[in-house]
Amino acid sequence: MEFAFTKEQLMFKKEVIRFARKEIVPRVEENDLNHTFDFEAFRKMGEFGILGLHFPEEYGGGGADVVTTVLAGEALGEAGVDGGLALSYGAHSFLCADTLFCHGTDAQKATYLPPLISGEKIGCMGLTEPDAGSDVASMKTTAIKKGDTYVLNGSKTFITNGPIADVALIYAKTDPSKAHDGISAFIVEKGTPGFESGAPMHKLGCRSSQTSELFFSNCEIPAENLVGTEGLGFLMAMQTVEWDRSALLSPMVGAMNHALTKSVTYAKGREQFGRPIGKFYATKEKLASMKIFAEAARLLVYRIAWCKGQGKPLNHLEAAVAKLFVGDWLLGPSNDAVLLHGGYGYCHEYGMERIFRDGRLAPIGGGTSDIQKMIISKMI
Amino acid sequence: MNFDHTQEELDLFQSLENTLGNNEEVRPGHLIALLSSSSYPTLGSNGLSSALPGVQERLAQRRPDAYRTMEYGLRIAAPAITRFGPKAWLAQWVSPIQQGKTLATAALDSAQGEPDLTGKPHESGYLIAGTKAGIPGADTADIILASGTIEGIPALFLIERDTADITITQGATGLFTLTASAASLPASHVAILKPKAPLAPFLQLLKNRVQINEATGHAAAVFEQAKKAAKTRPEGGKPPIARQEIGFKLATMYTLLQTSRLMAANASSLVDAGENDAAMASHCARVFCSDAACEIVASALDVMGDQGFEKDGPAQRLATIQALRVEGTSVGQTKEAIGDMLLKY
Repeated sequence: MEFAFTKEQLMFKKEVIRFARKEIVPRVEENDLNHTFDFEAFRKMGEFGILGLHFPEEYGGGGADVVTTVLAGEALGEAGVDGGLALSYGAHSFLCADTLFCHGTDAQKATYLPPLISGEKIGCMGLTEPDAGSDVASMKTTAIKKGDTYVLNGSKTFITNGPIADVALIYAKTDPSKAHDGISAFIVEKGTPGFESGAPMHKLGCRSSQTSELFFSNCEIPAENLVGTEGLGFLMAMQTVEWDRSALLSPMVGAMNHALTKSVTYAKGREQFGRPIGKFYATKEKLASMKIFAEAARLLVYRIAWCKGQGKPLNHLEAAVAKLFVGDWLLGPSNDAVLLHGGYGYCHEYGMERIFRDGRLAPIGGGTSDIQKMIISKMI
Repeated sequence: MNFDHTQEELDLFQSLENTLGNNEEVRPGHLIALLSSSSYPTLGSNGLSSALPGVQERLAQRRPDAYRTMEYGLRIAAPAITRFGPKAWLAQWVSPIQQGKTLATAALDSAQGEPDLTGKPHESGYLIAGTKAGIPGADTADIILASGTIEGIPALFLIERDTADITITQGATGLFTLTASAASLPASHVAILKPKAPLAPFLQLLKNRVQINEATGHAAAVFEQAKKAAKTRPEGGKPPIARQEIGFKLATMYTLLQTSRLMAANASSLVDAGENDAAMASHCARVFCSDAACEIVASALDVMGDQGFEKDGPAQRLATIQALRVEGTSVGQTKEAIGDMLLKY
C-alpha cells in the first residue's frame, strides 16, 4: 500500500490552486451572496483544462488519470472555490459529459463533448423527480417512442445547472411498466419545444450553482438523442457513482483544508486574554478535528478514485462508506471552523459560514446518508 | 498510489489467521516463537512494512491479552535497539527477541508526578533511578528497554528481569510501573545517545502505531461479533440487521472501522518511509482510531444487548479500549499536539 501522490500530481495541484486563486476566488463570496453563477470562471476552467481533464485529447480533453482529475477538485476547494461552482463543475463534467463519453455514439461525442469540455456549453443531468429521489425506479417522466422521435413528458427537480444548461442528459421511462429496466437516457438541448427549466431554487448552500426543476411537456426529440441502449439508463446512472464518490467529494476535502488554513491564521492572529487564541486547548482541539477529518476523508475519496483508475469493478460498499463518512462527519469540523472564528465565523466575509452551509449538501446530494447506511447494512 | 496489498502480504495475513486459528497459545513469548517461521517477527524491517497494520490488527483482534507485550518487544524495543543501540546489543538481543527466545518489552512513559528515569556513572557501570509507567508485560519480560537520560543526554537502559532495586507494580489498567531506586546496571546495559538523537519522537511514533492498530483490532473484533449477532439472532421473524435501528448502527460502525484501517495504514507507511508528515498522520490516526474504537464498542453493546456482556464479548474489551484513549500520550494530549503542529508552536 502506498498513499502518496506523484511529484507531477502535486505540481499540477499547485497549478490548479494558483489558477483558481487568480481567476475564481476573488468573486466567490460575491457570487455566493448574490446566488450568481460565475460564467466567466466556468469558461476559464474550460480554458485551463479542468472541465475536460480526464477526457481524451481528441475531444479537447487533458487525458489525465482519475486520481489527478479528483485531485483537481480538491485543489479547487483548497484554493477557496465555493461548493456551488465545484458542484456545477461536477454535474457538468462527470454526471453529464462523462456519461455521454462512456455511452454516447461517435456522433454524439463529436457533437457534444468538445463544447462541454471547453466550457462553451454547460451540461446538466436530470434523474431526480419530485416523487423519485433515492427511489429512482419510481420516476414518472416518460419518453415514448413515436416514429423516429421520443416524446418526453414529466418533470425533474433539484437539477444542478438546470436553469443554465445548454445540454441536458435526461433519464426517463421508455417502458413505464418496468422499474429500473424501463429507464433510458436522452440528450435534450436547451430551446427544444416543450422543454423548460424552472426558476433557480434558493438553497442553504452551494448558492452559486443554479438548481431548478425541469419540465417536459410533449417534448419531442430525435430518436438519435437516445444515449446508450434503451432500458439501460439506470445502469448508466449508477456508473457515475464512482465519480460522485470521488470527484464530487474531493472539493469538500479541499474546502476543509482551506478552512483549516484560514483557521490557523486566524488562531495565531486573534488575541484574547492577552494571548493568541491558538494557545488555548479549545482552539487546538477544533483545528485537530478539521485536520483529522481532512486526512480521513482524503484517504476514502482517493481509494475510490484509485480503484476506478485501475479499472476495478465498482465497489458499492466502499463507495457508500466514502459518501457516508464525508456526508456525516463533515458537520463537526465545519462547525468547528465557524466556532473557532467566533462572531466572524457567523459573518459572510470570513467564508466559514459558507463552507459550513455548502457542506450540508454532502449528506443529501447524490444519495443521502441514510441511503448509504441502507447499502452498507445490506452488503456487510 | 496503491490501495491494494500485495499477494505476499495477503498470504501473510492468511498464514497468521491460520496459525492463530489452529492454536490456542496465548503466552506472548510462545506466540512469537510459533510465528517466527513467518515474516511476522521482522515485519517493518524486511520490506513488508505495509503489512504491519493488518498484522497488528489481526493479532490484537485474536490475542488481545498477548498483543501489547509481543508488539512492544518486536515493534518498539527491537527497532529502538537496532537504530540507537550499540552493535553489541543488536547481535545479542534483537535476534532472540524476534525468535521469541527473549521476551522483551519497552518502558517509554514517565509516571505522572514522578521523576523520569535517569542514570549516573557509578564504578564501572551506572546507577539508575526514577519511574516509568504504562509498560505491558513487565512482570514476565526477560528484558525491559527503558528510555531515560544521563546528565540530560538521551539514553537507553536494558533492564533484565530480577535486577536488584527494580520494582514492578501493576496499575489499574493492567499495565505496569517500573521504579528504580539506585539500581545498578552494567555499562554493557546502558547506551548513551547523541545529545540531539530523536529518541523520544521515534519511540512515540512506534508506540502510536502499536496503539492505533490495537484500537483497530479491538474495533474489528467487536464489530464482527455484533455483525454476527445481528445476522443470526432471529427477532420477530427476521434478523436484527434488517431493522434500520440495528442495520444503520452497523453501517456506521463499519464506516468507522474501514476509515480507521486507512488512517492506520497511511500513518504506518509514512512512519516507515521517514516522511516529514509522519508525526501528523500518526497523531491523527491515534485520535481517530481510538475514538472510533470507543464508538464501535459502545454500538456493539447496543446491537448485542445482553449477549454483549457474555464472556469474550464486547464488554470484556470495553475497559481496554477506553484505557487506550488515556494511556501514555492521551487522545486529548494528542489533539493538542496536532494543534501545536498546525500552529507551528
